[in-house]
Amino acid sequence: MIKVIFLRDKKSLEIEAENVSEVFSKLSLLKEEYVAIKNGKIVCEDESLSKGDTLELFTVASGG
Amino acid sequence: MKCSRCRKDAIYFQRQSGQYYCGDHFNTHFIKKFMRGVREEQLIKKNEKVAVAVSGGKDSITLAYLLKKLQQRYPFQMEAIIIDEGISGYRNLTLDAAKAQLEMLEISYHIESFKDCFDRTLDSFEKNNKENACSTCGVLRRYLLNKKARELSCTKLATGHNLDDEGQSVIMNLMRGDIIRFSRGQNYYKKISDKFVERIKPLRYFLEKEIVIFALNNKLIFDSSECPYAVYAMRGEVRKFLDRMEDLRPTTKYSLLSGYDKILPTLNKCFIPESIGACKVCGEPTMDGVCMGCKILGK
Repeated sequence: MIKVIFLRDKKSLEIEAENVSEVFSKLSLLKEEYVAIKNGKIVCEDESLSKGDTLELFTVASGG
Repeated sequence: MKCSRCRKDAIYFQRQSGQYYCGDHFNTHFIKKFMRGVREEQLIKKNEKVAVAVSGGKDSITLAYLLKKLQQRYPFQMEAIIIDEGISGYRNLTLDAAKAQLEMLEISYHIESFKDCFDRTLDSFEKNNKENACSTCGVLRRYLLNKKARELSCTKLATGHNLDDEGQSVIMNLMRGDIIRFSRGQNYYKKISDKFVERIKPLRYFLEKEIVIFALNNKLIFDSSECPYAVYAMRGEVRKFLDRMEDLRPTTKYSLLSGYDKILPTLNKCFIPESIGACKVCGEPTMDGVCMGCKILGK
């Protein structure tokens, strides 16, 4: 299981996924809307994920 | 995945070019694109005085950081202007970030508040009309930015608008049937009144997501919260639509803005007057007898 944390909302959930893209698609998220951070490092959407990884999602839109 | 240039771990895949970038090469690419844009568009000339509008969000903080880098290449003066609209639970956070990063960059700044200038905060203006907050805020913020930049004798006012912002505005103006706004370009302000400080948007061809990655990659101090009034704005819906289109068809945002830029000179000629008058109340430039700022303030 991968731990996914939405940084703005401070919400988290666990999900089965082999890569970041799969997380986006399973959660119906758009790639344009988030920057993915795996175990503290910014990663691309095709980055692979393994059991125990933490994926933080940083919301792109901010301000007004 | 690995960087297309050095085989280090990639942090970003640029869909439109098919290139993977590691942190270092992403920085190089980003800074080069910025410097090239400023040079080719002749946005800032030697020894000019530039005001940079800083909110404390990632766009304006990135802009201030890059302008500081540009100052290492040729001399020009720079002062930051921060507008405090008076939005409780939000503006205090962005103000703190703005002050901290500007002090670190050694950029002097001026804070102009709605409370001091208009004797009211945005919260008090829009207590019963939250849907209107963004337009009130936009008018009064631009009014203060222009006024302060002129008082500081700045010849340019730089703002952190990005590609997403610009694309959203094109669509929103068209959807509202607001042809005057649709037909304004960034040179419009200079062109029709000496009282307008020329606005420049050096980040207008940068995707918002790339700016976030740049700011995070360079550990810039910025606040990433959302304005509490944003949920009432039309922009959110338009943003979602454009993000969906970009997801389906990468380069949609670039195509939208570059297409718009091509027709802009013609729109300018057709719909924008050659000069405008001054507001009867405050003397600021306006197309009507009384400017929008004074109308909002009930003067």
